[in-house]
Amino acid sequence: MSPRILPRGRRAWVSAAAGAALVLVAALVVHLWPEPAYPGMKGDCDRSELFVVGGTDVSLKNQRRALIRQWNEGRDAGGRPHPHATLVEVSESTDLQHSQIKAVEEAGGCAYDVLIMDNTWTAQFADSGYLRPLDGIRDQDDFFPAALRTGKRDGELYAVPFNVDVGLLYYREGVTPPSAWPGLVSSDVAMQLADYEGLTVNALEAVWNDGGAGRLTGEDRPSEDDLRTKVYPALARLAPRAHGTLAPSRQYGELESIEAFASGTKLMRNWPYAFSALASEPRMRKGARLRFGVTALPGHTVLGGQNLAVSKHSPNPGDAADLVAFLSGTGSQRLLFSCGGFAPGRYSALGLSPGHSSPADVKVQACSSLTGQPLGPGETDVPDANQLAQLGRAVVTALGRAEPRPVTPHYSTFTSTFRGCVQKIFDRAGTDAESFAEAVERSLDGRTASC
Amino acid sequence: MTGPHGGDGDRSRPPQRQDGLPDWLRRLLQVMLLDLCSTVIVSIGVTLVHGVFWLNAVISLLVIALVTGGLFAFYPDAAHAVLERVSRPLKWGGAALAWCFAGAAVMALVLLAGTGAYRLRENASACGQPLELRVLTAPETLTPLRAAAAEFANDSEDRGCRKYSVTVVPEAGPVPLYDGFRLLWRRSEPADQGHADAQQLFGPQPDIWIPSSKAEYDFIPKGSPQTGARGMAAGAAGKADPYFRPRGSLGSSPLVLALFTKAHESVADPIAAPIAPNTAGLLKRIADAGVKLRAVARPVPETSAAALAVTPALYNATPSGDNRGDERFAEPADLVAPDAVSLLCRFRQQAAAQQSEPPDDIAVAVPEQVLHDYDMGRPLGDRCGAVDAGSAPYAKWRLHPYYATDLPTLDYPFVQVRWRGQDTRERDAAVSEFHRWLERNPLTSQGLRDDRGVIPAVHEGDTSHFYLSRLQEVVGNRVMPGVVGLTPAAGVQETLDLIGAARPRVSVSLLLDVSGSMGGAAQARGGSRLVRGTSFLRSLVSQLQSNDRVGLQVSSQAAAPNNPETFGNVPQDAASPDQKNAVASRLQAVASSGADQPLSDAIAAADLGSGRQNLILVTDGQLPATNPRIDSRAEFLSGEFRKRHPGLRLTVVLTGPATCGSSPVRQIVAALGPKGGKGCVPLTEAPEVEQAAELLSGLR
Repeated sequence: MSPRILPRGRRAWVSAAAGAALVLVAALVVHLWPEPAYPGMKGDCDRSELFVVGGTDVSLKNQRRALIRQWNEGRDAGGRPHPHATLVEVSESTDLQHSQIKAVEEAGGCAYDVLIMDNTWTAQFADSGYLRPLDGIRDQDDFFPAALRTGKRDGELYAVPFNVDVGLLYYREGVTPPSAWPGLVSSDVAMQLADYEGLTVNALEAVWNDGGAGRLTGEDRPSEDDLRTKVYPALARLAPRAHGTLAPSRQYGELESIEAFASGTKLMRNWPYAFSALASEPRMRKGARLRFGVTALPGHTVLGGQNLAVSKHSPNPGDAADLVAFLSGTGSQRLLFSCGGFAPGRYSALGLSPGHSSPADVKVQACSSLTGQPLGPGETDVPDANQLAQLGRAVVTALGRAEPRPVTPHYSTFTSTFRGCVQKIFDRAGTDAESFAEAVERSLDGRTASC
Repeated sequence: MTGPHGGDGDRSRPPQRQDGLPDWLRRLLQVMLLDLCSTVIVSIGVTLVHGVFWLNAVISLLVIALVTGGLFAFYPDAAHAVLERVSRPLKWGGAALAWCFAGAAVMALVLLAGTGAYRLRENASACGQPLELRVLTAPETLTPLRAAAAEFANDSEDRGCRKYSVTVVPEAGPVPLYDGFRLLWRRSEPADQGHADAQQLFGPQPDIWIPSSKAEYDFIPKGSPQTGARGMAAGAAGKADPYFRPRGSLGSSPLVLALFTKAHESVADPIAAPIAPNTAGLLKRIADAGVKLRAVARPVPETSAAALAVTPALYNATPSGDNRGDERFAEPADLVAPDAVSLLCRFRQQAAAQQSEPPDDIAVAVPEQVLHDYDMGRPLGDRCGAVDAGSAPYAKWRLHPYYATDLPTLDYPFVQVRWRGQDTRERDAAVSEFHRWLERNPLTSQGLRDDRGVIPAVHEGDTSHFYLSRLQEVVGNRVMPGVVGLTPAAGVQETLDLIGAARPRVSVSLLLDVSGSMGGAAQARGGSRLVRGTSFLRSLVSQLQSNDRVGLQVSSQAAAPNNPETFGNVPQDAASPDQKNAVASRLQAVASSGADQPLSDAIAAADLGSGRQNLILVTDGQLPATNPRIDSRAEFLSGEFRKRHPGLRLTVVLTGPATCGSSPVRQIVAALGPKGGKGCVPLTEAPEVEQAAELLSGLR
């Protein structure tokens, strides 16, 4: 007699079906049983004011606040006053800004309408549903394409550039800047190799310019083999430098680098905002003349910067999008560059256009010309129009070679893991290529790992 | 498997027993079947309530088996009768029931397979986003809390994905915190509708606050509906925002007086009790040992709850009853620090520099746990990283604790903070989970005592944590008692009043250069000169007490300091919370514009009142070109102007780029600065709160 594994007869089928249905219902009940209501304190979202959240305004002349003030005093195309906007400054620290904005957004809070975000946050915030797509932004061609791409996720535009950052090479008067990467890292140069985001940025630039081009950038995931054979060796080659010419840089962040450069270091890798800081440093001036120059870094550089986005939970998404358009518009971007010391995200802010974007064509005005505010006796624009044009040319040249950092919703896990690994490679703490590749690969998916 | 007979069958046919099983085994199987059915039913019911299926199933099975066994053991007849009655219908529907179970089993397998596939897919895909928890704590507990939070985040890991990320930040001190919670975490209320373009927060709004003591928690305003608050978190009336939920102590740490090694060697006595009856007795013992203390360095009480807590004991320690003298004794001008970690960080930096010897005439009043971090080489706040405490330079600067029964013990309550609009079930659950984790992994592994004041034993083989007993091994059992009393800290307001009465009152006129050049880049730190200057002044204002006086005037060609209509000017008044908010809100909203008003003109035009006044002028130093005839103007200031304001003391605070030696600052300071004092102070990269505390201490 062969074993029976299927029911025979109606009663058997009905019984079996009933048993299956019972288990299914029980499972569904367990799974879908509503939890008791949580008595959460709901926010008051019935408001017309706009709240723009970001870091402490460290732009010169408090230009970000000035732009918000300008918006508050302005009117829309129909002649109606703009809804009042307030800039909410969380902290100077990017990590603390991220902590606050993420916590509010993941709670579904409506506290903020416009988010000023580091451009590495776009993937995380878009994937988590914190952002509204920006469909109505006009003149998108006018944004630097690489900068605009940092605001996109899966083809959708969620954020537009507020300011861009690219690595620039500052050189003291009389020093010829090296034209190739090996020449740079073997020179007397101040870089940012202290244990913070600057280390990730500087290490990625070292990788891209020493055999690892195209790895750990954008949405393309490097294979473990790439990490082992292209990325790790580049960092291993940098390690002896970290004990030689770059040893002081292991203590430097951006401000320490500026101080070192002002104190005599011949070269410095830094962001565009360092230009204005140095231009007002008495040691770096001789009358109106600057005792330093700036140019693009040799080779590839990291494309940093901050973007503007509209919160998914904004009670006033239309007005918020208008405010984003205003802050990222040509007029605002010009002011941010000439007065605030931040590199703009648009061609037009530097007198360029998408088809007419040679660095040599950069045309900018000094701050006082833009604002129409006269200078006092003996006062000069710092920097002046020519100096700003030099900076603008360096920024445009660098933008042509700039690459984004890895695009992943787990960027914070990646960067902390990567930094830990780089430190160990620099310290010769026994990190091998295998464990490096495995740790970095895992971190891109948000998995914890260490070298 | 031989399946049960299906179909309708012939109902008249008697049941056949073809299995050949003995009767007792069949009964047993029937009972088991009954038990199993009951267990599944009971478990589903219990799971709906408690949620852990397997545990409920095991418990239910045990319970039913016990009941059944008991029934058979003590009432065999009744049990058999029940069994017969049950087995009859079971026999009748046996086949149907068997198929029912078979169907259920197949569905269960399908569901399990589905769940398994889902989990496998989850394993292969990227992690979800960890929930962000924001923790605020005293600067002194930053290192232990950060270490614990990192462990918690790692322990929350599931298949390599963290469930939580935790950001731990230091608090600004009890007085600024009072305003922070009162104003929904804004540093100040908007100055007025026309200037409400920006507001600054104290950083991330905390989900968890771990103050130093219950006294600090009690000091914070609670329960008011925050009427009048507008903006981001303003909410429905009637409910307090934020809402606090204290959840008990996380451990304890007594305040101690600590001496450097040389002084300690003189004072140490192997037969003396490790805990002095009071601080007065302890100081006497130190003096009797020939150690002449010039000060007991204590952090600034307005910015350190630990310093506040220790103050009454220090005041009571001297027989004179002269609190003013005691206050001077507790805040030496060369050791002003906003908190205990900053104070000890300074010693560590001196140790690293190896250019000086540890001072033998100084004792420090700090929590024992901070002393542990210092002596064991752990990080001290954000500015001092970990060091090898055993290496010679640091071992030489080791501090040794001394205890007294009237020195309070900090109790570190865990307080959940719920903010309107950010209060979700997930966040609440995350806070609860962190609290439970801290109960299972107490901060005693991070240098604290338990909540009874006892030093716990080190867990066998645990070398990755920092138990207090390790410091006990270093400094000795006779120095560090295994148990301390739990003397609570006095009320914060009460102590602030005590300090206010003991300190000389100070009248401060703030004069802020808001000319266009203040929009330029600051030296030492990033941002504009105006931002640096206003940030410094806000720190200074927040440290003033209500019996001090403060006013603000701004100066440029577009903003006259003596015009009450000028935005930014606030007439001098007692430094009440409202007055401090008025000054802070204007400092927040003021913008740079207009050409330089010569410094001498700005000072001459300022409304300085009468009596002993401290004029604090914050400027970038301006240019000789915008300060013509500076020598004659300086002559005016030192002559005629000085006669009008004989009690005036000027301090110029420079944001750069000018230095104290640059003109016109040099001439202005020479004309009005204090004789032999610091008439000019450049802002450095040190935290503004520390620089403000130092300046204020000098003024007092």
